[in-house]
Amino acid sequence: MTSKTATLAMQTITFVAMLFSPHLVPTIAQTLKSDIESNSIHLDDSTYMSWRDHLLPQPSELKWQEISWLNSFHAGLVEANQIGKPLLLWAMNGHPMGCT
Amino acid sequence: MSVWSDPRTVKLSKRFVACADEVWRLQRGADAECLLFQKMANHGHYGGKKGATRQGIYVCSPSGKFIASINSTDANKVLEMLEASLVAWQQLPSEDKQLAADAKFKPKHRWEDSFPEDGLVLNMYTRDLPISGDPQSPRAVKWNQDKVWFSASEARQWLPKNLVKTDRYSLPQPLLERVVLQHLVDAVKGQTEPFLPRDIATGTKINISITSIDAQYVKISIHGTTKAESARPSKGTTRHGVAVQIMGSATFNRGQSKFTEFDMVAIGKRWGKTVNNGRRKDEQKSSIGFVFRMAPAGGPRNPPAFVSSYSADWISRPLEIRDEK
Repeated sequence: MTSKTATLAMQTITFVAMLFSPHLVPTIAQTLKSDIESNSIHLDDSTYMSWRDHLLPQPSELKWQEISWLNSFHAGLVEANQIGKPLLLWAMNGHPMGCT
Repeated sequence: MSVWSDPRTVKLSKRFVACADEVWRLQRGADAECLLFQKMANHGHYGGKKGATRQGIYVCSPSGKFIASINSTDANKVLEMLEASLVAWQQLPSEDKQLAADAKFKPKHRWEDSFPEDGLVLNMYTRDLPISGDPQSPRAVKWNQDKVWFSASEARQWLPKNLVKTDRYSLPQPLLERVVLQHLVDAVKGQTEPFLPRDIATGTKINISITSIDAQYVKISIHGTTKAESARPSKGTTRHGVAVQIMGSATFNRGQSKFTEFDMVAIGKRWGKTVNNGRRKDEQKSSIGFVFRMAPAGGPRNPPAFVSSYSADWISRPLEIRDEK
């Protein structure tokens, strides 16, 4: 084997070894982690409460709950009939109570 | 400001009986309640368009007589319609204002009937997260919510069988799938579709540790990493997914055999679009968050958006869905 061939063989072995190195092959956990994390958003004990509060709707976003919504067309018809008022129906794909 | 947050709409709504309902069943169903809706809505803003959605805001009499309708997120336009409908209501003959004495339109099936009285019911809220990564940044305007249901037996499975302080317990696969497939979905801006079991990435898990235990309470901490991705592009849908990190805690009352506290946050990424989820111009990977909290007792019994996809034999299904299986 010439020195040139030996060098090439060594380089090939090194490259293959690198491919399967645990340091270079991402584990499942690492792959998931890279899917989730950005450079800026982290969820840990120190940020948990802040993110939870950020996600929860604010009182101003829940004003629609001041309307006494019944949760079905049938229930609305029955009550409208009982108290003699017109029926207001909000009908959406997916129950609309959250789509404010 | 949304239509139903506008104080003028809130005030005017008191002159009506207000109800909200899911339109898919009303529009396609064959029971008396659905047929009454279809007859009424055919006079509305989408009336006559075969196959078109019947989403919108309707005013009708208790007898089901159509009065007015609109599909708009503009509070001024909705107010205009509501005010006009009150004028029309006054002019309606009295016989049209009442339900016929022999009218029977109680639905044969409602998902609400499967509400897990003794189980665990969570409110879930979801919202896009700020690019800055700072939770003190202004909130994204659009958000959505859903309900999450677990029967009493399923709720108990959030704890290991033997209640001893242990390092790690993995949430059983059926419950993990419910959280990941039906609830960790990108519905911030509109209706989406659930994932399928084959969409779950290897390594997806939710681990539970008992942090304290006494005669009355068991406290747990929740940690997890999940990913689901659908690679079934179809018209209006691209490869899309959600991957999140999960943290939370909960308290289980041993005497009552039910949770008294449940608080869980999931933060991560969403990408791609589905037909109606409002991501047409927003397909790139971006940050999304979810929070799950105990629903107050006595609250609305609205079912989860994807309750029909729940793998749970305690949920009563309509005949047409049962027949498909």
